[in-house]
Amino acid sequence: MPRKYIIKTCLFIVFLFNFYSCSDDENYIKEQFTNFTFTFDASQNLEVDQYKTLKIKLTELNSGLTNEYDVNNNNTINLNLAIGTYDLTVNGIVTQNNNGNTTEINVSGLETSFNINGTTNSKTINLFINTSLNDLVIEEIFFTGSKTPEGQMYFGDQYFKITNNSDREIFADGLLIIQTAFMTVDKQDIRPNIFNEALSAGAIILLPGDGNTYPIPAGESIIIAEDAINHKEFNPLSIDLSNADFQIFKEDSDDIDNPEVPKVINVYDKWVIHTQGYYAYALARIPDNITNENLILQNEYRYEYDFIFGGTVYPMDGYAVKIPNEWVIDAVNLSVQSIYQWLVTSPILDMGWTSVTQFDGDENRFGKSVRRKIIGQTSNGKNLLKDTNNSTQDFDAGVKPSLFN
Amino acid sequence: MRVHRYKLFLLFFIQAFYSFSQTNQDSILEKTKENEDYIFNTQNIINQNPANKLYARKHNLTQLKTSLVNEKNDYYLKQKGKDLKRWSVSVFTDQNLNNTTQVWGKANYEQGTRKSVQWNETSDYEKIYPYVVADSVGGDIQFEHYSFSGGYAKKISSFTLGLEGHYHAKMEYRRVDPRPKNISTDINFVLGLNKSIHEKWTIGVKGNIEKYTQKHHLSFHSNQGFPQVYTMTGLGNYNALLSGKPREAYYEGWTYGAGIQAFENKKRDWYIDLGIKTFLADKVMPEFTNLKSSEIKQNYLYTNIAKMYKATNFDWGLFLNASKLSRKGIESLFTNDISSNFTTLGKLERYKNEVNNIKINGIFIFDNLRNKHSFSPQILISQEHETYSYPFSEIKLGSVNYGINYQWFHTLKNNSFFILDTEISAKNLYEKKATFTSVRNEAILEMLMNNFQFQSANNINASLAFSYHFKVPILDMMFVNIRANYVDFNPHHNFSFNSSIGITF
Repeated sequence: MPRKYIIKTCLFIVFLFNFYSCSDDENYIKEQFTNFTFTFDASQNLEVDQYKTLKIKLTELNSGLTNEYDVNNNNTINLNLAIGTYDLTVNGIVTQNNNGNTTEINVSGLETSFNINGTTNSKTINLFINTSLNDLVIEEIFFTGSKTPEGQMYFGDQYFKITNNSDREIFADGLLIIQTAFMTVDKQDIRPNIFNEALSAGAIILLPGDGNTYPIPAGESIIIAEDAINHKEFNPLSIDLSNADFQIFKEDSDDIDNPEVPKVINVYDKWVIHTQGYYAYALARIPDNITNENLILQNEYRYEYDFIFGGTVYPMDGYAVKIPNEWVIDAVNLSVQSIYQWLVTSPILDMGWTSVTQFDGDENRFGKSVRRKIIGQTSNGKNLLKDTNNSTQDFDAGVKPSLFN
Repeated sequence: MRVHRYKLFLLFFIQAFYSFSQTNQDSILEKTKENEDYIFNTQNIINQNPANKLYARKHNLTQLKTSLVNEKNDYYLKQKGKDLKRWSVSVFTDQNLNNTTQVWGKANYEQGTRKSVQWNETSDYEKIYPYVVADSVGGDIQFEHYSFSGGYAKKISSFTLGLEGHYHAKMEYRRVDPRPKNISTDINFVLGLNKSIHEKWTIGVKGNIEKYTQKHHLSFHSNQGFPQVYTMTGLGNYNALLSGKPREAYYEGWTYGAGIQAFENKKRDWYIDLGIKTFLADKVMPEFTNLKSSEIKQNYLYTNIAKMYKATNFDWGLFLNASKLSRKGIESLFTNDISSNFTTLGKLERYKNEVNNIKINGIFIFDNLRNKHSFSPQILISQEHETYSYPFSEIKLGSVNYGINYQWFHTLKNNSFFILDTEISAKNLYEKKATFTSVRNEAILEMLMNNFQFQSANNINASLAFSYHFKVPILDMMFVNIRANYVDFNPHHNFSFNSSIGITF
């Protein structure tokens, strides 16, 4: 009798155990790797003789893991990759044969947010020619503001430093400085997406002058200040910007005006520098035959996207100004390390991004800037700045601003 | 809400006094002694089946107790916090209404502070690990816990049916940045049945079901900034796509359990207890359309076997406890089409934790009229293997813990009694291995290393407890209890002090 009870009860336990096992839907997998082939192709833009070197950086967006690979004398690579969503950047050198002369050409490529989950096992990445225009560049952006001795935030001392990275004198007159309409930390499915043809400007300022007013000698810089005053009078830990070359002045606001410093011209919308660096900035020149008014009228860009919240789709739209990529002479994507989502420029203009802020709300960002790297000196002893159209590589991120020295 | 819970607590308290007034005239000394008896407390393990509670206790008992706990720890798991201060009050009653009916209940309220909790802004770490919400700053956590439980066992013919319910609510928060506010609840029901076989022994089965929820919200008041918030996935890894902006998390889980027990009817001088518990939980991100970010699947198997013998001058016994815990963590991988909409790319079992324990202890009891001396040598062998598959990380630990417990139970001439309880044990790691690869953040690596040093440290543990139970007018039997515990990690040490005072009637 007791044995019967024991057996029955044990069977009951076994039944329950099996029930638990069966109820497990197992709709997941163990670690899975895909043998994936990348092919890099520059043939759309030039006749390639040889793919000399390619440096590939692959980042899985969920884990944040980044791996780098080198490919020499080849344009394919096989990798065993874990399931995930990836960003890939590639920089390299290809050679071109021009009547027996071999020329080395810098190329780059970018592919963002592509999935590897076993369904496909190959991808072709188009490479484009990486040109440096030997022109004005954004050398430094100090966008974070500073802190007071009491630990309070202090703004108004932000500035842009624009440098003549050529060996000739260049006039700053008529230079457009653009803040993008889209943020690098907020990815949207924009319709129409015009990134391949134009930059979407959310705010534009223009440097004044008749074309011969503000020369910048080779290797020299100009400073465009948010408020061109001596900030040390208000915050001993800040800087003196009263000698800035230009000041940003908002006519419809109670803005600070230093009459000694020329004002920039507000062309489109209100210029507000984001202190964490959510936007991209660019320099551009408009053709002579286009006035400021026509720039806005002829290049208005209406875009739409769907904002999805709580499973509900909310149709959204907005307006920006299209700045054709050909007009852009330099662009820098800024972002926040932990919440970066996409580049808001064509990768031809900038295929990387730089930052000060490690994560959203980072208190350590104050008093730091992004500064372009120095790669040498010109014949007249001026700094030669790195300009490969990849802000990740071209900039030192989160460094002491040059004017704080 | 808090006022409502206090009312419930008060109601239970009044009910306990009511039951006291209804109770029979059991010897207060005998019932208190029974409640403190080493063997009785060991046997309690089979009373997790509510049907087995009938006849478990010879005497009805009601106890009201308030306690203070103070811990100072040099060595600790970062996610659980450094020091602890806790005050609690509880009332418990266990009443045999007649020869076939047993009722019992307990209410408990506690509040306190866990200090320096880091890399975990969520509550109930043991339940939801490794999928905690974390930041590098952390800080002290204030908590308030409420719990109520009650049960009923009824004998019908040779069968006894038991039902027990538990409700446990927690609120945990911090009043400086980062400011988590966590509210968690547990509701648990246990249904048990046993049958007496030939009036000699009893076989019982139980099943339980438990619903767990935790709502986590994190906020910051500073206008200057705040630390990075991570969605952790195990052994220092985190989901980079889900880290940063999310401020809310919701955990929901179910526990299913079943067990079987067999034991001798009257003295319960032998018993076998086998069981399994399965815990399934999901973590969802309310800010992303209730996106399911991870799942936990845990199986826990356990067995407890005991046999006690009576010799001429002393009693002795052997106890075996063994358990196997297997926990899997399944995380979702996403593709971020747009900021507010993540598409699930797949689910991967990346985290695994296996813990095996086996403990053997003996008990030797020398009992005479006023003195009872108990010696309990014990050995515990423990193995733990925690892994994360990609990037591969692991912690492997194997330890032997051996020690001895001595208890002196002395009855004084005025029918008061005291219990002196002392224990010394040593833990030696025979295996310790840690591999952490591709940890992307120095602070996280430091946390992992600190935790591993704590987990893999040999230590010597010494404890001393004294409780004194004495009769007082009106209140009947009062008791005071103090316990000090010292763990030497050389050169670090942890110390805890626990004091309580209460009434037994």
